[in-house]
Amino acid sequence: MSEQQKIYLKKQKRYKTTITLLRFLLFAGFLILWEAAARLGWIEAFIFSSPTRIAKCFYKMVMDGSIFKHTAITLGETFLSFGIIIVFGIGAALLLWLYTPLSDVLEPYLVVLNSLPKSALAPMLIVWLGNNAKAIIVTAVSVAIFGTVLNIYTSFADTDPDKIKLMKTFGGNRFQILTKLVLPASLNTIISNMKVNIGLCLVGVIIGEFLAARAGLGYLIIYNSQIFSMDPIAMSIIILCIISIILFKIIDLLQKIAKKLS
Amino acid sequence: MNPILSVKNVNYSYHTQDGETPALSNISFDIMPGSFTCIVGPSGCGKSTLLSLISGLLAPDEGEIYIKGSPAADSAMHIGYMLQKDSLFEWRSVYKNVLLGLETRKSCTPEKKELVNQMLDTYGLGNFKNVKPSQLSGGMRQRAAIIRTLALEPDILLLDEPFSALDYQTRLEVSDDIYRILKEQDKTAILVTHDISEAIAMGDRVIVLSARPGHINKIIDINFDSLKEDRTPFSARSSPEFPDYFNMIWKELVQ
Ligand SMILES: Nc1ncnc2c1ncn2[C@@H]1O[C@H](COP(=O)(O)OP(=O)(O)OP(=O)(O)O)[C@@H](O)[C@H]1O
Ligand SMILES: [Mg+2]
Repeated sequence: MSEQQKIYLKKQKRYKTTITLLRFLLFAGFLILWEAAARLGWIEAFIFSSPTRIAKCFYKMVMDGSIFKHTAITLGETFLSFGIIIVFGIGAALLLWLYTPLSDVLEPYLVVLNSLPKSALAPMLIVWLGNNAKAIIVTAVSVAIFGTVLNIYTSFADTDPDKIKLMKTFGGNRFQILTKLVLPASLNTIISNMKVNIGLCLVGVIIGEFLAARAGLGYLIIYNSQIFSMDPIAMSIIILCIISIILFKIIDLLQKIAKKLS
Repeated sequence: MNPILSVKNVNYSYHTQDGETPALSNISFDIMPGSFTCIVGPSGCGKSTLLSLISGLLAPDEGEIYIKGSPAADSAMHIGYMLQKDSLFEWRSVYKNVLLGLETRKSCTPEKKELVNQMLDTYGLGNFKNVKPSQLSGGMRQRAAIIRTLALEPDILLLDEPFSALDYQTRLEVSDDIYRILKEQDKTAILVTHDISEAIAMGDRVIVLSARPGHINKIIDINFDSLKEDRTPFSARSSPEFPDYFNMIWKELVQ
């Protein structure tokens, strides 16, 4: 390795360390400022909570185990709706790709449903399906499903016509064109879509829990807001942050594995 | 000897919302086994369309195409069609790319794999089997696409401007290579090109098409008596007959 390359690598490494350090400092500074502001009375701790109050609340709920129950319920609902979206989204996109008249008929409806603010559907869904987990999952699915179908179908339909022609010169049938060309060509779109969807599912589940739940982080937030108990709310939000980071990272990992395998 | 391919009075038009585009009109010719035919013609005159008709991807509006005596639509297995674009799949390694045709035809036997490996080595891609196509140069991509087609061991090879993406020097080298392989394996080839010199250098026969809708202006037999046995595209280019053929074809094209 040349001297210049070494210097370059060293510089890059130093830059990366600095960035990580700054990120950490920003977070720590925010926590300290928040805590100080609450203690010094700049803000009303009863309304704005504070890091130590959140930690205390967290400790209490870990001790009585209730936090695990609420988190597990929200996570479970999120995964379930995510799974449903992936299966039905890809399935529907496949049907649309296989039967062009079907997609020609349905496309305007999908576009309208997709541009609708989906949270508007939630109250109606809950009236129809009752105050239960089923309603919450259907709400979450309704938030992301239309966009998923459109997005994946568009990617299928955009498959390079020259590559399709190539498959036909080999005598490839529709199924082979699908498995050897269309699906692998759309893999990236599907995974990017999953990244967006996992976040959307969480949003949908929280909306559903606001309206219909007797447990879950969304329920925790809405219940405590009614009794002006801000610490559990702030804590729930932080847990949601952590959950969404972890979920996003899982999909990221999936993407990397898919890239390696292909 | 019977022709391996005969095209009889073929017409073809494309239909779109904006109207009808007649692409080919009254095309007829025969191709003998083992011959090398080049098709030249102005851009958009229907050269690619003609190859698609021969390969059975399109069906003629009128007329017939026979391969070894049976209709083209049923004889696709005899044909290897190298499209104008290399269309390598970015997500597959070079090796998996050249196996694509065999996989699709469900004939990916160990013997065929051995053949593919040999070809990869012969054409300088042996060390690039496991890389993705994006890491290949234009010339290497083209060679990979040719191997992908040859792997099918077709009787008739259709080549649609296979060298157009290459720089001039690589183009001369690759066309020499391809010519040699095809002659060694006694394949029948039809090559479409824009390049008059290339057509003369490689072809036993040059079919000159008119502007759209393409019809046959002239079929010119190419003979290099001065070269006899050691005819290669490269030697042909410097033979005394070459300029005469060039002028003849040039006149047919611009008339
Ligand atoms: N799918 C299509 N739909 C409508 N018109 C088409 C289609 N494909 C080709 N054409 C038209 O038919 C004519 C012949 O096309 P073709 O691709 O066979 O020409 P070509 O001789 O191969 O041209 P080039 O030298 O540029 O490759 C062109 O004018 C083109 O515009
Ligand atoms: Mg063409």
